[in-house]
Amino acid sequence: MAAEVPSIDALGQFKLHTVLGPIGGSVNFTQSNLMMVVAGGLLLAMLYVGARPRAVVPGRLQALAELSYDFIYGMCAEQIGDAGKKFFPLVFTLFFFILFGNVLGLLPFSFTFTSHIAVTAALAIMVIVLVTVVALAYHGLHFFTYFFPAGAPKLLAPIIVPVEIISYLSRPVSLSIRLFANMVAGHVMLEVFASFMVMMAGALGAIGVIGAVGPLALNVALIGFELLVAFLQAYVFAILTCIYLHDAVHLH
Amino acid sequence: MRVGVELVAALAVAVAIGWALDRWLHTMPVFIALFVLLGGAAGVANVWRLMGAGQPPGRRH
Amino acid sequence: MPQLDFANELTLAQVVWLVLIFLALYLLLSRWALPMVGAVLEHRAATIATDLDAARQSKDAADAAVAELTAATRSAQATATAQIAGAVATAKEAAAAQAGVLNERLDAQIAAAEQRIAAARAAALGALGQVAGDTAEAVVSRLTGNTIDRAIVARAVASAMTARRAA
Repeated sequence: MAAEVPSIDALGQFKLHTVLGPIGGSVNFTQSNLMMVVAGGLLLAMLYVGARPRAVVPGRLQALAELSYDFIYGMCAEQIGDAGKKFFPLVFTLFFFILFGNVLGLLPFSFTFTSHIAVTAALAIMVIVLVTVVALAYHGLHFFTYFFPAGAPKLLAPIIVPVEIISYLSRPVSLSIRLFANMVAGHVMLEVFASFMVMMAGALGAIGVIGAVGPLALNVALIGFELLVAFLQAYVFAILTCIYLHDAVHLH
Repeated sequence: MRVGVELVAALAVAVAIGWALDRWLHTMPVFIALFVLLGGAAGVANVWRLMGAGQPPGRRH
Repeated sequence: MPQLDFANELTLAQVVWLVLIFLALYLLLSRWALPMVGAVLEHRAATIATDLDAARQSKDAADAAVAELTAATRSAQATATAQIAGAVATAKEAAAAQAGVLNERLDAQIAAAEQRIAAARAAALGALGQVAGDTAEAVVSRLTGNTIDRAIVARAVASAMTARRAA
C-alpha cells in the first residue's frame, strides 16, 4: 500500500481553473467563482420562491425561507442587541453564502470555494474591517480603551496592551483558518478514502472489492459528518461575526 | 479544533508582527522572541475567553 | 497545496470575483429578498393581530349580549312577579269586598227574617189569648149555659199563659 499512497492526489481537487470557455478565461473567472454565483442564485431563488405565495399558513418552501430569516434575525437580536437589526442583512448574507458554499461543495463534481484560504481570509478581513469601522463610528477614539480593560493594574499595561492587540488581530486569522481548515480536512479525507476504495477494488480483485466496502462505509459516514461540519462552520462564522459586532457596539 | 486554531492564529499574528518589526528596525531576533511570548499569552487569553471563564468585564450586558 | 499557490494569478483573481459576487448578493438580499420575506412575516403578524382583535371584539359583543339578555330576563321576571302579586292582591281585595257585600246582604236578610219571625210569633201569641178566651167562654157557656164575664176570662187566660210560660 505504501507505494500507492503517493499516487493519491488529495489536493488536486482544490486546483483552480477558469470556466465558461475563452470568455471566463479572459477575465479569470474560475470554477470557484461559478460556485459562488450558483450559491447566491440558489439562495435568492429559495427566498423568492418561498416568499412569493405570501400565505398566512406557509407551505414548505415558505416555511424554509421564513425559518432562515427568523434564525439569523434571532441570532442578530440575541447576540448584538438593539443595533443588530442594521447588521442583519450582512450576517444573513455571510451565513448563507458560506453554508451554501460548504454544502454545494459536498456534491460530486462541484467545488468548495470555502476551502480556499484566500476566500475565507477575504471574508474574515471584511468582517474585521467592518467591526473596527463600526466600533470607531460608535465610540470614536474611545475605542482604543478596548485594548486595556478597565481596572487592570497600570503596571501591566506594556504586557496587556500588546496581548489584547494580538488577540484582536488574531480574530480574522482564526476565523478564516477555522473555516478553511475544516473544509480542506473534510474534502481531503473524502478524497483519500475514495482513492483507497478504487485502488483496493482495482488491485486486489474480488477480495479488494469486498475490502473496498470498508472505505465506502467510512465515506458514507464522513459525508454525514461533513454536512454537520458545513452547517456548524457557517454557524460559527456567523455567530462570531455577531459577537465581534456586539463588542464593537457595546465595547466593554 | 477551535482551541488549536485560536492558539495558532494568535501565535501566527504575533510572529508576523515581530518579524515585521525586526525587519524594519534591523533587530532580528529581538522582537520575534518577544512577540512569540506575547502571542502565546494572547492565544491563551483567546482560549480562556472561548471557554467563557474569563469574559472581559461587562462584555455581555 | 493549490490554495497557497499565490504565484497562480487565479488564486487572487477569485477573491476579486468573490468581492463582486458577495457585494451583489448582499445588495440583492438586503434591498430585495430579505424585505420581501420580512413583509410576508409582517403581513402574517398583522393578520393574526387583526384576527385576534376581531375575535376579541366579537367576544366582547357576545359577552355584552349575554349580559343584556340576563338583565332582560331578570327584569322580565321581576315585572312578571310584581304583576302576578298585584293581580293576586287585586283579586283578593275584590273577593274580600264581594264577600263583605254578600255577608251584609245575608245579615240584613237574616235580620229581616228574624224580625218577621218575631212579629209572627207576637201576632200568634196575641191571637192565642183571644182564641183561649173565646174557647173558654164557649166551653163555659156550653157547660153551664151561662155567659161569663169577659174580663174574668181574660184575666184567667192571662194568668194561665203567664204560668205556662214560666213553666
